[in-house]
Amino acid sequence: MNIKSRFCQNPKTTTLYNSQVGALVMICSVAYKLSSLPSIVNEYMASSTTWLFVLLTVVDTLSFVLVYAFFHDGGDEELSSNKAYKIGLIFLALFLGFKCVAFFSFAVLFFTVELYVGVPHVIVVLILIAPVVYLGTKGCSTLARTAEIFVFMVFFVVVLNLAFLEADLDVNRNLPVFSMEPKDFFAHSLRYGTWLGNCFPLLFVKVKNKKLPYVSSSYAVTQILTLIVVFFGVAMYGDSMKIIGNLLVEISGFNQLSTEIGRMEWTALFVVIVSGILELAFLFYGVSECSNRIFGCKLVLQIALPMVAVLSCTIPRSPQVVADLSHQRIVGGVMAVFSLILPIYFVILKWKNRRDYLSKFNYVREKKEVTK
Amino acid sequence: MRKRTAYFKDRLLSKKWLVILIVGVILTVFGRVIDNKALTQSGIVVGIGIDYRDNLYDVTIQAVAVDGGAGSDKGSTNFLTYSAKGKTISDAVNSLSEKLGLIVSLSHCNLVIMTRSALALEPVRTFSALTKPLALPEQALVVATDMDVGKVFASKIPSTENVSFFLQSVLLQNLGAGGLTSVSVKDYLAMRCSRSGGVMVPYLELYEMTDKPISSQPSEDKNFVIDLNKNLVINDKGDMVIDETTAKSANMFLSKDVKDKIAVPLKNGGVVEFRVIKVSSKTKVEGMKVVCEMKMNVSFVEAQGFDTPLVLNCNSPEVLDAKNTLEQMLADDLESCFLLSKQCGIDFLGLENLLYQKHGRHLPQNCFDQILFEASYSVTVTENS
Repeated sequence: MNIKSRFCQNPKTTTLYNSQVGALVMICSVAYKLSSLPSIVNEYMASSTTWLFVLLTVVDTLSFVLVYAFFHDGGDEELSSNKAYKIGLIFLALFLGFKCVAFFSFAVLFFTVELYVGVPHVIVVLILIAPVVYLGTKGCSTLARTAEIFVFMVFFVVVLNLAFLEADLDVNRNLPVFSMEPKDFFAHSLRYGTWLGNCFPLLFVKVKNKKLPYVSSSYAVTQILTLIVVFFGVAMYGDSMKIIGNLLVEISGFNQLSTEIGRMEWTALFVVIVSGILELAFLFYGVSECSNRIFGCKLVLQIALPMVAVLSCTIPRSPQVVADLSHQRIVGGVMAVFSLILPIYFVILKWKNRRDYLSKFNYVREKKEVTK
Repeated sequence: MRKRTAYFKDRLLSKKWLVILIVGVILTVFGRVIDNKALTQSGIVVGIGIDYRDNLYDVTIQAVAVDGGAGSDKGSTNFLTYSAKGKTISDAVNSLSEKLGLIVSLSHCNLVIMTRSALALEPVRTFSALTKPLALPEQALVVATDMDVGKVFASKIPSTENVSFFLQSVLLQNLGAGGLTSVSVKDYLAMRCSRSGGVMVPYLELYEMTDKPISSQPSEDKNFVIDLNKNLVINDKGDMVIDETTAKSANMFLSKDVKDKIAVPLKNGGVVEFRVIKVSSKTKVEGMKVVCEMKMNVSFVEAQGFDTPLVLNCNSPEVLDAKNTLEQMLADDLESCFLLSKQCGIDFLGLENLLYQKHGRHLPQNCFDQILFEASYSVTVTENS
């Protein structure tokens, strides 16, 4: 088997169990939304931080419902030869590719600022890119199985950190809802579009349902947990949340058990690192599948994207340049618009394809009856 | 035999082992490339003090040094105090690392003593320099003082010998009088960055003990007593030291855990003492006016100076009279507290925050002068417990 036949295979829709999809949804929705985003939002939004997260959750839920409507019965398989679908995939590849590069820069910053101070960026970039590329190349089944292994740990660490939280809280710090004019609030909320659409790579899977509704319950639990964490974060820090680097890690430090067994940030560190790498790999998988359908070969973007990620963290003076770019008004706004337009576009394509197929099927049936 | 060799060769070179080998190589390279200091090279700092004078940061640390080797019965813990100056906090801490001979790590530091001049600096930048590169926990307690921070740390406290441990013990367990407050770095920043901008921190004063403690090992060292009854209130515009009564009123309003005894003198010469069990506050915002209804549960402790042979209890008229007097007294104290905050322009009661939560962006900026305040107390007396 030569390289071309190994990497340039016909696009294949992976079938996953709904429990696996639920695990992927949970792990890939937690990492960057609860790490870097809260402090970035708080700098502009102050007390409206929680309410902005509510807005982002509503938009994300809408796009997830549309994505689920597309993939749950194999929308990708039906449209694999559709030209309009391939055009949509070009924009999807750009969307997922930019997300991957931006989150990669946040991950590098986390390692070099919060964990290993003074380490050259290049070292962290090279160490981080290896598991991301490996997992992403292995495919969605591997990612799903890995997610299944870690999902309970991630869930219980977040829940137990909240349950054992011991800190001065003032829930009124989440008020007022609109610390600025509503039109400014909604205009400003477009900045954070890069953090939407984490589940878009699921467009390339097909779901095999088990008895329980794992996907919807996992999604609901994840979004509720996210909002609770942000709510408590604002109640703890108020307008000073802008100085913290990683909300999940900071919350885990305020633990009742820390007086007995020492500082407990390591529990959240493990969760952040594992879910961060899995989310990056998941986005990388999405980009490779787009590449397979657009160019007929995964290798094109499987080589290009890691190179862009590595260069974006090493060539500018700091990965902070890319991180800051991800929440600029125009860039964030474009990503927010794509996060809604792309799933709508794919769902309409799937509906149109089915309607055309059905009308063709009815025409053929009528013709046979007439012939009879 | 050949089949077995081929089988083991396949197993060795199978993907799983190749991945493990690659991961091992990467981790080894990573470990050799990163200059990670060993734990034995880090100095454990239990307290840090910061002063700011003549555009220089004067940083003092109290570090732990353990004497005695492995298996030794005579191990002892010494607390070393070092000071250094620098243009930034990190610059001063680097100098301290040189003096200490170890890398200064604030991971176990739970106390930050700052002078007024240091607290007057921009709080986010000041504390970010401690929490981010130096890993100061955000649970660390903030204490203000006007005294020389080096002398504070170097002082010997008879009960615990060490100022850092004494302060942590008193503040965390709330072992002081009702005016004692404890503020962590997180809470300090949250309140300084809020709309009110004012915060109340414990204010430390040190007095030399006149009578030396009696010890089987007499020492010529001076012993000191720490006084934490006063608080310092501070915002961007200034600061002020408030007395114990004002601090107590403010603590009760802010629903801090106040454990205190209150002696209520009556007009007939009698004095009734109550122990505070629980205090809660309920505030309502009406326009620019904050109406506060305080509820306090107290237990009757003792009564003195009453000309009656009866044993007094919580239902006795004298005690009920004292309760009514207490309600008026506490309400007056709280309103005086508010007037003081207006006088000095420091909203340490957080009233502007309450108005902002109600009115939102429509609340005008710098409106503290326009705020009105009304307080009432409702005291419930229970039996001596």
